Amino acid sequence: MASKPKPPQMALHKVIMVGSGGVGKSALTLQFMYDEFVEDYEPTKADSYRKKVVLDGEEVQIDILDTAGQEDYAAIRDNYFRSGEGFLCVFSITEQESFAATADFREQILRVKNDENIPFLLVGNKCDLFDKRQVTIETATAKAGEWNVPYVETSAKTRQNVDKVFFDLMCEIRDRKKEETAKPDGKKNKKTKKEGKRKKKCVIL
Amino acid sequence: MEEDSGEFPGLYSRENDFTEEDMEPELDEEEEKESLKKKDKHKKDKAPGYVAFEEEDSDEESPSKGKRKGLFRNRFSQNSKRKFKDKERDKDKDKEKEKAKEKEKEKKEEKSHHKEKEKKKSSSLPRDLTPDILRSYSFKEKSGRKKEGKEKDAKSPSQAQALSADELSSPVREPPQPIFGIPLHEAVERSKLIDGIELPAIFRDCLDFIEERGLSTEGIYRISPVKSQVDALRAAYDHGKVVDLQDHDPHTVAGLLKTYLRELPDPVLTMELLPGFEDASALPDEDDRIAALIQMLYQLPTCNRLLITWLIQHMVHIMDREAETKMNLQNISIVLSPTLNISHRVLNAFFSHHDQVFGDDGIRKVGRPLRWESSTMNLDEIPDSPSSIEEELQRQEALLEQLHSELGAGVEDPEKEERLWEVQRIITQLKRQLKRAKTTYASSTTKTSTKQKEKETKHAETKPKEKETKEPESKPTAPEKLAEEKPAEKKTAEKKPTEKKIAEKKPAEKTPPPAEAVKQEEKKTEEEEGEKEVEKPSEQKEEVDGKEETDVQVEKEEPVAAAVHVEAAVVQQQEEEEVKMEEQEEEEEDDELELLLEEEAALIAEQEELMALQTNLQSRIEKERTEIDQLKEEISEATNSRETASPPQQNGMHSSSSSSSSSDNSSDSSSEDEDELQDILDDLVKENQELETKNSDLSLAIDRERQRCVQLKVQIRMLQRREELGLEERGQPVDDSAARTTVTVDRETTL
Repeated sequence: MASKPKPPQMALHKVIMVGSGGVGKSALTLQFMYDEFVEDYEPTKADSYRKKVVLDGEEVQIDILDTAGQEDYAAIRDNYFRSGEGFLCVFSITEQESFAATADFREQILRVKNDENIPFLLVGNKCDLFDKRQVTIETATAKAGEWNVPYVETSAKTRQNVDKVFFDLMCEIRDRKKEETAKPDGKKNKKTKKEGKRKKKCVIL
Repeated sequence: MEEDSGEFPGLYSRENDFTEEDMEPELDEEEEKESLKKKDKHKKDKAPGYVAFEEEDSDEESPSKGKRKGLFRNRFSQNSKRKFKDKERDKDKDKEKEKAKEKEKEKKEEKSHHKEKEKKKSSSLPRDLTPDILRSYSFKEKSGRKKEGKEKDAKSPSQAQALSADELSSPVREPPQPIFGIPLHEAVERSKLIDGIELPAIFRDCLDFIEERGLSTEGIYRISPVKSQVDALRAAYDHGKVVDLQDHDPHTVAGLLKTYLRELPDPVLTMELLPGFEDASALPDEDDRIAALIQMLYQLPTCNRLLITWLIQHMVHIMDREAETKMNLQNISIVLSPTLNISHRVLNAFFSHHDQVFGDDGIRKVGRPLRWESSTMNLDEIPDSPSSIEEELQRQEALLEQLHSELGAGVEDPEKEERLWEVQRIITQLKRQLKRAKTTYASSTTKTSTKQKEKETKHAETKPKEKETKEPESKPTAPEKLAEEKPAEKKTAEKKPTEKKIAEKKPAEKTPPPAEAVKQEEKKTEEEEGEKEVEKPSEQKEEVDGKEETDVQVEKEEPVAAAVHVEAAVVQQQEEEEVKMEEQEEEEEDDELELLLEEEAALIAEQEELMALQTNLQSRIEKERTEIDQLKEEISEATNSRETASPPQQNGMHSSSSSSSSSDNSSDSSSEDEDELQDILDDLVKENQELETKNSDLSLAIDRERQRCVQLKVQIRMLQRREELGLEERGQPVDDSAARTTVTVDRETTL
């Protein structure tokens, strides 16, 4: 329902960044896209990017939609959620509230996508600021386990795991699409899905 | 009266031609088909009267005849006649003409009688229903179901979103903002294009399209289009969709335009002024006629005047191509008269005096939003100047808003969702570009005074040294934002070591521009700036040189120097081009003197930056030339020391490098075979070539970085200027660009 005709033959994976304001969604995106780290805080309304990447030897395109963290833009967010194929749910490890908010975002996504197994990564950003950590790895991992999704800590500043989260998500999306073409009924039971995820994880160089 | 009431009531209200016979049977059917009627009405009649009607209707779920009557009353006098004519025309042109005449008569004579007529008409409305229903398009039907939603929308567009649940159920949403059948000025408000010309988008779109693609189409505006296509386009406009006419046939587009014009609730020349136009065009004296027509024309509302002006000019274009279009004055008039509700006489007058009457208030094409249909975006398509970026941004954002409102209403349309991402992507890139451009373009309000300030600032801040320059370089002394300070600090930090290096290795670098500088025009440059810019590249170059030296024992200086030369030339050219371009932009925006001044300041800053850069480059060239000379001397010494049998040297640079390298080896190799020497020579030449390639690549990279540096510097300057002016509003862009500067600087350092 969400995946669109792909422009050339190249696969196109649509990734959406969600999370509260100021957690670093744009920073992660810009770091991934342009190797830039932008420190100033400028709230995003919505931004979209496209990049060609090589995923396990295959050239694919990734569309990244960087959404607004603020609720003010929730209305337009839904329009995008529908067409998103995978989600990076970002919080800041230095901000407990942003972690709490991830549950809301997940709920929204599930509501729009109506799919428990939608490719989804829980991302704890700003892990370079470990001295200001408010959310422990254990807490976050537990939450991710509850949702059956991977948890990754990143730093848009140091670029730590930035590529990893995008590539991991793309792998999930790709695998998901394969499954769906195999079985039109895209919904798998969680265990299968999870195992698939873990085993097919791509290697980031 | 009788005649009128008989014909008009039903005809007008229905927009179709019916016969008297229809009246009776339809009355029975009316109730059943009320909903359908509503749809039609909604679609076609968004006149104020209609709106009022809708409101009434919305209060009550089931539409009643009384309500309809109200509707008709409101719009009858002006709109219904025209519509009636138009529709009839489609079926029967002869009838149309007659009716048109009648209508005109009515207009003149019977305004006082309108109310009576309306009442009569309203009573007779029911009969009209059948034809409507029969004719109703699929989209109409759909819209009809949604009528309630529509009505609400009409009342308060802001509620549109709230209705989404309602609308979700229906495959096609009601047009929240229809374009067809609403008064011209409303359509203009809703859909005027980015250039602000008071004409609705649909009119502009069609005109632009036919001007471009339909001027040699035989029978354009005469041949009937494929109705389903026209309907689809019409529905697209009414639903506020993104309409792309490009794939359509000119006849379809012409049909669409005619439909739109036909359904205007008030004729283009307006009911009040139509008689005046009639009288004017009946004047016997040509000059009087023209004068009167012009005078009448300027009594029209602007949007009406523009519309008729553009349309007549457009038609003239078509008639000018009569050989291809087969459309002469008569044909055009036959087509236009019923559509516009303008008599042949007036049309004739318009056409025969179009030069004098309409002057050169000509058709202007409008810039359409960029498309990046296929996958990757093409940054080249992004305009350069801030003003054009902003223009494009507005177009795209309007598009985005449309898409959002449509999708937000629950339409599931993968194509549209795809489009949403695309538009968003374009917007993102435009914004990035704009930020970049804006900092250059700057938003400082003053020019010279600012410059002065900048100069002072710069002097205070920058390390005192080198030649003074008039350009304000900007190392922020004044209170700056943190973001600004960072890049500045970095630069300074970088600068120091570099300067040392330069001082040690290349004393020549700080020397004034060499005389050989042909390209140089103005030498008043700020050395500091230039240095900063050049420093990084120069470091790189040194590295390159170093590599070469280690790899090959002889350094081929000439290529490097040449490369530098080329770079300088390139930089200069680019500079000039940029200046030109921006000057053009300036001209386009005469109205905004301030902006121009800012831009000028930016340009000057840029120019000075570039000049400084050039100076530096030239000094480096000088230096390298000297080195070359030294090397040549060495070579000649080596050659001399060798036996007379030294191998024939190759031409130019290669020869010198190879020979010098061989000379280095000469002590060992002098006793060896010439063959061996030759081999070594060949190897060295190869190596040399490889290095040259590498060198040129690096030079290009350096050049790129350098340009970026220039841009950034200019940005920084403008930012500082702005800051000094205390313009707080631009805080964000400032931060952002500053941060980006940091990033770039970092990158350069790593280079």
